[in-house]
Amino acid sequence: MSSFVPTRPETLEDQRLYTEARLVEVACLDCTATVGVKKNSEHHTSVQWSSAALRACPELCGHDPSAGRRDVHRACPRLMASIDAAVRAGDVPVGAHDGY
Amino acid sequence: MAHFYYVHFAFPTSFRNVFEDHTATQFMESKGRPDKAGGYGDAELFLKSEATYYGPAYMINWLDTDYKGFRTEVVLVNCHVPTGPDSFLLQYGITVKKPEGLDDKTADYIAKKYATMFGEGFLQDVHIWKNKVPVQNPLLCEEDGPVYQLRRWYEQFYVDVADVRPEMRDRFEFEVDTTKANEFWQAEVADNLRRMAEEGDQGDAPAGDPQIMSGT
Repeated sequence: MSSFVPTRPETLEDQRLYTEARLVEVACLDCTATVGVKKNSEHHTSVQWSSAALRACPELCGHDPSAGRRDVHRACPRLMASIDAAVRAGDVPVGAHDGY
Repeated sequence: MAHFYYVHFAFPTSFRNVFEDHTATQFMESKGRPDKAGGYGDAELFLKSEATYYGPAYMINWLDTDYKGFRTEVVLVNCHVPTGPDSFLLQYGITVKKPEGLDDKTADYIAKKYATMFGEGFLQDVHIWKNKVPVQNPLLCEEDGPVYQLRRWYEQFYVDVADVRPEMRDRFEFEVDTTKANEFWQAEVADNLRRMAEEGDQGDAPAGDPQIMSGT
């Protein structure tokens, strides 16, 4: 096992906190994709996709990173609009637990 | 994100990470800090950088540059060859697009200039790599960025294929709106410029061409 892979219970809990905790499900308003969203502040957004969500997204599905596509970093604008709407509706809490 | 300001002396104006399958990408747009490399020289330097690791072995960094309206394209490739449990051989190369309508001598001059500037920018990162150690249980805050997501992505290359878990390859996006950070940094740079003007300081580098650029 590589040196950077968590083994101690405390570190595994840290990993869970940073990768899974506080992810709020947001459904796209335009397709059937549902993703996990976390906003530590108004200036930050994390989006966790699943393979099922990616397959459902007409904007991103079919894109093949191995083909060398340089726009892999581009977000789906419809999902981003859906996330903005969910934040405005108060469905996604904004803020981090370690305080800022 | 913040290391662009402190290490590379640039204001990051846009920043995203995307991890998906075997690729890890950083998208970044920046403009130079006027207090760090010569008068207003760097303030007129704009970069758009797309850097993708295709697994841990190599990264391709596409750079669109705009310096005083002169736009060109630069590609930096770097690769890592393990040489032991805690060492690797780092190699990098830089290619610069040959501008149209210029004679070979001028094009060669530009290519060398840009290769030197981006090479030195890359070595600013390398300097940090030479002085860091792995910490399995880092003390983090959320603003440190997606450290655990990156490690989760990286782990797929250290296990048998049968043990690769979906979350190691599932798409993850991390975006920072840099507006707030830049408000603080712009104020700091304005202070620096005012102090330099009072002290008759010309900055860290002579006025003229930017000395160093980096997209990573």
